[in-house]
Amino acid sequence: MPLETELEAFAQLKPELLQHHLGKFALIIGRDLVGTFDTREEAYRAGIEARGNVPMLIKLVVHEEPTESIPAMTLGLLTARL
Amino acid sequence: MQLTGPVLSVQIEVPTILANQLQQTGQPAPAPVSGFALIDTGASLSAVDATVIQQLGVQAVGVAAVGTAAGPQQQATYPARFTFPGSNLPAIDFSQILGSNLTGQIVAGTGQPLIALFGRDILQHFILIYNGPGATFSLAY
Repeated sequence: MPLETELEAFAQLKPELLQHHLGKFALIIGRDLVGTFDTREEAYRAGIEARGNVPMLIKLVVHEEPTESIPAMTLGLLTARL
Repeated sequence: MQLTGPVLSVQIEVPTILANQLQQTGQPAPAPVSGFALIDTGASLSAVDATVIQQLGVQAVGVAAVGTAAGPQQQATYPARFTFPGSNLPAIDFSQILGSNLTGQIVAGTGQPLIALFGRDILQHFILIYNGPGATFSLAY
């Protein structure tokens, strides 16, 4: 799974983040919480400035994460022929 | 258009924030990748072919839970900048695009690869008019 270390760190930090930073974007690099930000762009800029072009987890602090839907890909419809 | 769907020419580049950082550190930005994007109103999140992401050297910035027949799966997301050659649409930086396998998708009649799906996260910035009888579509900002 991509960003496994960062996701584990986020899971550990989530209760505290929900309490104090609900609706913000958390930036985690490795196991470090770099900060929380109002927008994804701000978080990305902070990550690039802090560590450069490295994998990082920018995650909206919400109780329940939405599930994205891309039927054309997930159902293989891009390659379907009538 | 019935065969190809609503596709438009796109160029995908490293995001502006990364391009600026590369410039400040004296590193060249990777060359943009050109191809076509298919407008997909069924997609809640846009996607870029993973090989394009690799060519640009952009690192993952998140994960998205994507619904599949086997339940939600976590997939990596990346930032990217889109420009639209030959149109007056503005360039747009996106902070979260899904990296997916679109390899081998060629847009009929062009010989050019399909490198992106434009979902509703992008379309929320545009007005899309699909003229089926006229076999045209328009995208306005």
